[in-house]
Amino acid sequence: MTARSEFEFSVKLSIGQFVPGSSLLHMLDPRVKIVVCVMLIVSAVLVGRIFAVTLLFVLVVSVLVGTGVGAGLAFRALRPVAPFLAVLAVIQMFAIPQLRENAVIVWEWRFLHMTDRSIVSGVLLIGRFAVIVMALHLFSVTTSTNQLIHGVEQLVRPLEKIGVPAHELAMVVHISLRFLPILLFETEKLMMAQASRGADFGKGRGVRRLRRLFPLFVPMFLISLRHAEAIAESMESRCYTGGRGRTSRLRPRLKRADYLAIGAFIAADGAILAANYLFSEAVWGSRALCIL
Amino acid sequence: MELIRIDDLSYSYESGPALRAGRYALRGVDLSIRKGQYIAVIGANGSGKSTLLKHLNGLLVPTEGEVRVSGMSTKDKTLLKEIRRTVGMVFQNPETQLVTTLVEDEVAFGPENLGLEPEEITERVEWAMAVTGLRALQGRPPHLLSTGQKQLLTVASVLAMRPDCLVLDEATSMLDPASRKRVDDTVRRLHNDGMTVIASTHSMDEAAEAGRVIVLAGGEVAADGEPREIFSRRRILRELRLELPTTVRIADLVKNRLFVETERLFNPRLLASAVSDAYRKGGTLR
Amino acid sequence: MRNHKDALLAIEGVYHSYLPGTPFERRSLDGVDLSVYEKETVGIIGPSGSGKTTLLFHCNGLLRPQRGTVRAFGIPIGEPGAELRDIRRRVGCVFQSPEDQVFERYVGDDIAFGPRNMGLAVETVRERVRGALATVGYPFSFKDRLTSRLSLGEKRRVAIAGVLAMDPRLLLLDEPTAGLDPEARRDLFEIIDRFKRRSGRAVLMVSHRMEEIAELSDRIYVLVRGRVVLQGTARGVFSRPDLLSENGLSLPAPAQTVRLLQERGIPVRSGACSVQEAADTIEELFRDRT
Ligand SMILES: Nc1ncnc2c1ncn2[C@@H]1O[C@H](COP(=O)(O)OP(=O)(O)OP(=O)(O)O)[C@@H](O)[C@H]1O
Ligand SMILES: Nc1ncnc2c1ncn2[C@@H]1O[C@H](COP(=O)(O)OP(=O)(O)OP(=O)(O)O)[C@@H](O)[C@H]1O
Ligand SMILES: [Mg+2]
Ligand SMILES: [Mg+2]
Repeated sequence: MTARSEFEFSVKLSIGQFVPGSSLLHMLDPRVKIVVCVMLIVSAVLVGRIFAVTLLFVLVVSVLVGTGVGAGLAFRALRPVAPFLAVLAVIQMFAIPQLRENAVIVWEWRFLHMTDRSIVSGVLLIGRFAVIVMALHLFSVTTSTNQLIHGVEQLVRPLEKIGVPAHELAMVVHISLRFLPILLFETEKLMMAQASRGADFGKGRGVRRLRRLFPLFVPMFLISLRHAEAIAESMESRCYTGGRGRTSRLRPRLKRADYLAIGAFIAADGAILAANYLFSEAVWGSRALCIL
Repeated sequence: MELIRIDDLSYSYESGPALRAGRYALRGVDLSIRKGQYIAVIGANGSGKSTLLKHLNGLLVPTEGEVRVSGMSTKDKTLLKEIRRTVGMVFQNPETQLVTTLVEDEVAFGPENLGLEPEEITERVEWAMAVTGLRALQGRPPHLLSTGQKQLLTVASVLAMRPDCLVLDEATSMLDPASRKRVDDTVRRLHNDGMTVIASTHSMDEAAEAGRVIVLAGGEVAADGEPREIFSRRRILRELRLELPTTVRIADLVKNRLFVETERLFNPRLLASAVSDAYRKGGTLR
Repeated sequence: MRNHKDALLAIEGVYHSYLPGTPFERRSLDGVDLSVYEKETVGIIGPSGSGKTTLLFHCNGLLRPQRGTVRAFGIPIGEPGAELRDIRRRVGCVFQSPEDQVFERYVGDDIAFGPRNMGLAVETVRERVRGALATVGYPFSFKDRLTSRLSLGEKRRVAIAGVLAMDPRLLLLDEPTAGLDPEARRDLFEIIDRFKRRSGRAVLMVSHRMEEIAELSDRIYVLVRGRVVLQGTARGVFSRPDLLSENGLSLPAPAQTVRLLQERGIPVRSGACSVQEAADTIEELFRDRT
């Protein structure tokens, strides 16, 4: 019976938002989580087999569930992007000519054609994307921005010797992660401000709705710029000058649990990658077996 | 001892040809602020209060003239961090000052930038959250707070830096009476321990509690003195579109019943004791 | 008692939670009843985070009740098919933060936003902008100022002008005086007073300044943790200092003065809320003696 207001779309936003809590993942050193997250993303890109990407997906879900974070929010984060993903997958499956070479054609109509390779790449696309979203989610939900800044900084610090600006890098990561929710909230507020003075976003779908949203873009840009400026002022006036000389209230130090966690994860992830390469055409010589 | 010295400060937000056309937000401001003073800055909307305050920690640098904090010129970029460590500033708009995703992190942000030890940071965060009454909001993301809660957080996050000089730009305008009192009491206590306070406000009741009141009008200092002096110049106050503190307004209406200058009666306590004195002494017409 | 059906705004048993179903879920309104009749100013006070802003957003359909009903001008806002646009034209809302409300590049465009959406003729829009600017104390030429180059108080005045230009029937004000200089504040009081005297109009206002609420409101609601814990006239509400201070509120300065006098054993009549009333009370005290 509840009619939801047309502005509360921040409800749908769950990726990129830290959720305070006390799960195992919350306790881990941010560096460990960064490494895990990056490894998951890299693995998702590297693997070329459906079973491997499935295993990766199972791995990340079981990390989420096993540590008590829960996968519910992550699935919610996937939902809004699902339609785009589906479109991309369909294009992959039917319309990419390269995927016809050297492949078994399953179905064909004019310029559309579905081959075993195109099916595999369509499914892979979805699988990879899901793994990446879940990995980012795993990380952002359990790591506050403060931990993130310090984590990235500590990881990159060794590279400072060769001229990589560790802290600035950390800030860029921070601000881009922070910016998405801010942008959404600002849009929400702007829509409320316009609606309460008689603008109408209510009805209509698709293109018509998009056209209604058009008057939002320019003010949105101006407001974001203004706020970014104000936030920079606020940081500066609290003595923020970059990483040098900055300390943390958390003093991250690697504990035994961190080493165990990272070890276990590397083992699992390594096994999946190894399997992905072992079960390749070259080793088995048979296509049918290897298509999965 | 002098803490801040402002010499012939003029500032314009414009640049290039527009500047020469000359709309100045501040014009020819000379001020000397001694260590340990409690100053209220008042003035109509657009009179230049925020612009002046932003000069005190080098966020704005003078178009003409100079601002020195403990002898350090704000024009020298290398001294900025030291200046900002000395002068902590809370801005006017609570919606755009928050930079982290957790209330505790926000309070810790300043102390972390100062490079303090983790134990010291934790202690300061605890302290600042306790004195402002923010404990109840621990663990929540700042952008999901109500406006007043955000404002309280901005105050706490500057208090945690323990600056020698605290600059508040209408920093309690959206707080509920209890939070405002808690912040006032804390600032008062720190002031008694030697902290300099410079606060802009539109509430004459608040301004009256300061030791010195600076009145801005059209970017210039129109009056500067003790609250008693300022509030006795009623004609000027009217010209500058200001008003008297609430209890002085009451006192003015019953002036001929009281034995004291009404402009001294800044708060309910003072007014009540003046009235009861007059009543006990017989309440004759003066 | 007035007939409930005549209320311009009637809120019954409204519940609301922010971000339901997420880890951030938070109950913000917990069964609120409130009504506003024509020709009155209703004040809402309450500690930070008690749900005042959330409640105001329910009054013009920016938020919909998750439970309970909200009727403005007889139209139920909760229902999916409700013509919210009509309601929003009749219910003007000045937001708590002018930064969130003023979005156009130029002051003039911002004030004209509402009237333009109402489909008014160019000339009429112009007149509305001129009128609204004058009401908040600015000349017509102020319309050419860039909104990004205003002080916060100037922006607040523009925000108020933008809502007045729509000529709403119910005026919602969320801490409208924060950031206004004394003169602008007095002007706003006058605007409010004139507004509510016209037939079919009313004002609903939130403020942390007890003096203002006491001076302006015909009735006051005290909101604490999403519930109305006290309501009545200024005199009635401010005769409960203990309940107020328990909930982070206080007495207006005139009432405080009278209370302090009573504590000193001076026989003053209680109930003064405004400056004038306090002065009268003191005057009476001396008159009775002589
Ligand atoms: N966008 C939001 N998302 C989630 N929670 C929110 C949001 N806005 C407010 N809240 C929470 O809902 C509660 C009510 O907030 P609301 O803004 O209505 O308070 P308020 O009475 O207006 O306070 P103030 O006097 O500080 O403006 C608070 O606990 C607040 O933290
Ligand atoms: N970013 C800006 N760019 C250009 N002009 C500005 C800017 N900010 C303020 N001004 C102008 O400078 C003058 C002084 O503004 P300032 O913000 O210092 O006023 P204020 O005394 O703080 O006012 P308020 O009481 O409204 O906060 C005003 O005329 C204002 O319009
Ligand atoms: Mg200002
Ligand atoms: Mg509010």
